[in-house]
Amino acid sequence: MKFLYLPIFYLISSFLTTSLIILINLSTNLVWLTSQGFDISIKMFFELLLRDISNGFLFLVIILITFFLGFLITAIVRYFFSIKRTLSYSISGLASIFVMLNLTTLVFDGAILIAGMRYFLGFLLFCISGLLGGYLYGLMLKKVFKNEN
Amino acid sequence: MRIENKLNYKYRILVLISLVAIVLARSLIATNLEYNVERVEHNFNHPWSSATLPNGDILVTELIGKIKRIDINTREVIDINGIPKVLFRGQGGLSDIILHPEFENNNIVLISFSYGEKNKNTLKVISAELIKNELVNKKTIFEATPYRKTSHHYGARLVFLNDGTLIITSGDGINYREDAQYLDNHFGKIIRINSDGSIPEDNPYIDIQNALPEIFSYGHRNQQGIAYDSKNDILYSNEHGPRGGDELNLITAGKNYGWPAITYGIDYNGSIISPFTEKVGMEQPLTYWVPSIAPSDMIFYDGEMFPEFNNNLIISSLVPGEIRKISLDNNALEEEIIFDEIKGRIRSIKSSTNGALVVLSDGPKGEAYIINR
Repeated sequence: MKFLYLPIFYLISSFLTTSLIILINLSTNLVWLTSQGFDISIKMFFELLLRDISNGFLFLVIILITFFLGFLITAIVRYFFSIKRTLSYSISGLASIFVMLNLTTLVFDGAILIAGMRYFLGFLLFCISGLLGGYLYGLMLKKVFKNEN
Repeated sequence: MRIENKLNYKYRILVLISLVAIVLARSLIATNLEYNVERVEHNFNHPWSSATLPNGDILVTELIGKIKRIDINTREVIDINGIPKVLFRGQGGLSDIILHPEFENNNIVLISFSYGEKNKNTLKVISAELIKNELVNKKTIFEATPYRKTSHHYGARLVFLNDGTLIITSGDGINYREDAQYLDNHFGKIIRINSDGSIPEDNPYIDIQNALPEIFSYGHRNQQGIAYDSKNDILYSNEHGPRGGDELNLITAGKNYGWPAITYGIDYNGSIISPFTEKVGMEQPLTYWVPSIAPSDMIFYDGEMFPEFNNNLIISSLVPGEIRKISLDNNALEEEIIFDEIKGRIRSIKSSTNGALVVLSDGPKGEAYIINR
């Protein structure tokens, strides 16, 4: 029965990473706009963030697919090798986002469709968002499957 | 009684004349709307633009790096030789072609194309002489800087102004959109040069430090249409927005058209590029389209064949694939879809020397249509 928690954890971690990526993406746009003399209030920032998250279905689908593949591979690896859940899924989250970002750029022939990753810092933060999503997934699994591999 | 009859008679005559006038007017209007759409029996590989030679023959560019000549009498399609090497990738390839204003004396054509390698390429414009179906004496007259790593958003449309200067649209390269707001590069700019590549002395940024002197206007995205009203010396441009926010702009020297600081569109992934649609010092479009129509080319019609289109803009679009007449009368824009029997993504529309229209559909099996009456 505990396995019923898996899709819930998977959804929660995917949603966390999606929200973080949307936050970073929006922030890079707004930081540049501020440098151009636009006034962006805290209220406006949160309104825009909510709007972007509510429009972020495409992001969520991409992250769901990315994490599904990443976590599946990690589960197979963990079947053969004993690696800590939090560590293995953190690495999985980071690596899968890294691969996804590079693949989307390759597919679109160099065009970067998630604007925030055009800068190294944005790219790094996106990967860290994946790491955090993976870590959360591993942590939740750890809580439920305490004495199981 | 006699007076009554007389009035009745006069009234009848008046009604009869009115009816005849109405019938004549209707038939006249109906005649004006008649036209022929002729498909040229040839599949063009990603046709992108066309230019009509003084004898009526039509040159068609293919993005893959070819130029074809349609013999207007026999409809035979002939390859032009001596084409420069182009980068056919993504949205890049052999793009626009126009005739020099003095073509009948110098045989010069101007061609825009993407040039270089996958990860290091740019928009280039050359002039060349067209001699017996061959391009000779090719000279580079413009090369956008810096080079880009993408193969999207080149702009690449060309038009001559009355003063003989050449206008070039240079797109934002998709990954370099913020650069459209800076004057030290060619991303997202409209360029103005002389036909030999030199820079006109009255360009708006010629004396501004750290600004490239070729720049005519800035803050553009991917300007796929440029049209010139030569009678009134007015330049129009249309550009692809992101998701929504395609624009029709009236181009004035030295103006900032706002991209990506102000826009009516959102990013392809659904996120906000800018919550702002206006700012002091940034120009508003004449009109914009949400959702996008993906405008692909544009002419200002002043030909004789379709007087009902005179002084109107005609825009071709890729999504869903239409030709739109935009009336600019009385400072109000009115849009009308015309020639709706031509289906599919429309890549280009041009007016030929006799006022007939040349329409190109998009894709590896693109088609050319000649609309005349």
